[in-house]
Amino acid sequence: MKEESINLTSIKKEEQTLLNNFFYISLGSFIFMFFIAVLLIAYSLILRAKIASLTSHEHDLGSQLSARANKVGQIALVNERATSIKNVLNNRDKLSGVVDALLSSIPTAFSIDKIAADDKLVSIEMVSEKLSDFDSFLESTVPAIAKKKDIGASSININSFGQDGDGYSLTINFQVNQNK
Amino acid sequence: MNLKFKLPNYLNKYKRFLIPIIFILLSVFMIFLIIIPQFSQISDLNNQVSAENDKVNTLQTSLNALSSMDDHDLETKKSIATDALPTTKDVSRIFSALAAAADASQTNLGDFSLDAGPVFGSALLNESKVQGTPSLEVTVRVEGSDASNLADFAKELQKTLPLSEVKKINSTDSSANYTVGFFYKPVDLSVISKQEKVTLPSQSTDALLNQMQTWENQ
Repeated sequence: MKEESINLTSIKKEEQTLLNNFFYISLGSFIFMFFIAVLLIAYSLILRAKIASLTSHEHDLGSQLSARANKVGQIALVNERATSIKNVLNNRDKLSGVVDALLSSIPTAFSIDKIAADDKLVSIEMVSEKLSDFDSFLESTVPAIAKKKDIGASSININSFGQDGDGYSLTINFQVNQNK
Repeated sequence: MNLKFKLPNYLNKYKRFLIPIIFILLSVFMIFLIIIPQFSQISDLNNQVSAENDKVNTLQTSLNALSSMDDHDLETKKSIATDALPTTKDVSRIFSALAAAADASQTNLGDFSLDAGPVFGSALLNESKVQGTPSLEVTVRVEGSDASNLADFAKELQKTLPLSEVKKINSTDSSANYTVGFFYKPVDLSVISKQEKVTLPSQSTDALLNQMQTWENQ
């Protein structure tokens, strides 16, 4: 009978300890969660205050910038024009450069009678009194012209050749690709 | 016994568990109703702070840039830029450019005509390899001593303002007809007014404008 009574007391004590542990754990988790929740809410409020302050600063700066809108517009115009100018310089027809390069390649023994040029074809009529000038022109000058990158000739054709008064006349066509 | 009599007994038997269970329920409630939503809200707020910071920095940089730009220098740059690429079809400037090129190449300017293009409607602009920049086409007759002298006119024209491109050359002994496109570009106010950030002209822009100025002064 005595042994049974001792067992019941110890069981009750164990139950009480378990219950106490359960209470402390639940209380601890509640306090921890409460603390975390308070921290998060406080941080969120700080962030909101920071956003409000930044927005107000942004409005201030925006109004300062608006007051100088004329200068802002002028700078934007200069930048926009500069971009367009670069675009024009890089992509405009280089016909005058091609014609100039061709004329400077032609030996001085020739006189130039006619030039007809557009973005695809440059036709030059040249005159010389000596046939040998034409020989050397076709043998050495034409191959040199074909290699010049600033001319960009894709094909070179003799359009006509004949006697012209006391001398001879040659019309030569250069197919050009100015953007290569 | 019915439920009415059982309930007080149950409450009495389990009342020791009531407070811990309430604590656990409150903890769960805080996790799902406060902590998790706050985490996502804080993430959004951080993004907003970052975006606002960027905007403020951009505005501040723009204001600093504006303050550092000299008004007179800006006016000069604007003037050179619009001389090189006018905002309208400016015939008097075109004539000045043709006269300057004729003068520099020692040729004489003959008559010239303009193809002013469409005045109203959605007709196509003059064809050019330069996308987005229209040109006013001019046909001009030039007289010179010989063909190379006449070719110089086209060469000089490339170095005068407003910017142009020689599209066709038709030259005989002492005279030549040129078809020249003079570039212009209306101001795109929508692009300019959308500028949120002020960027000062870069070094390459300054170099380009200096080059344009030397062409202008020739």
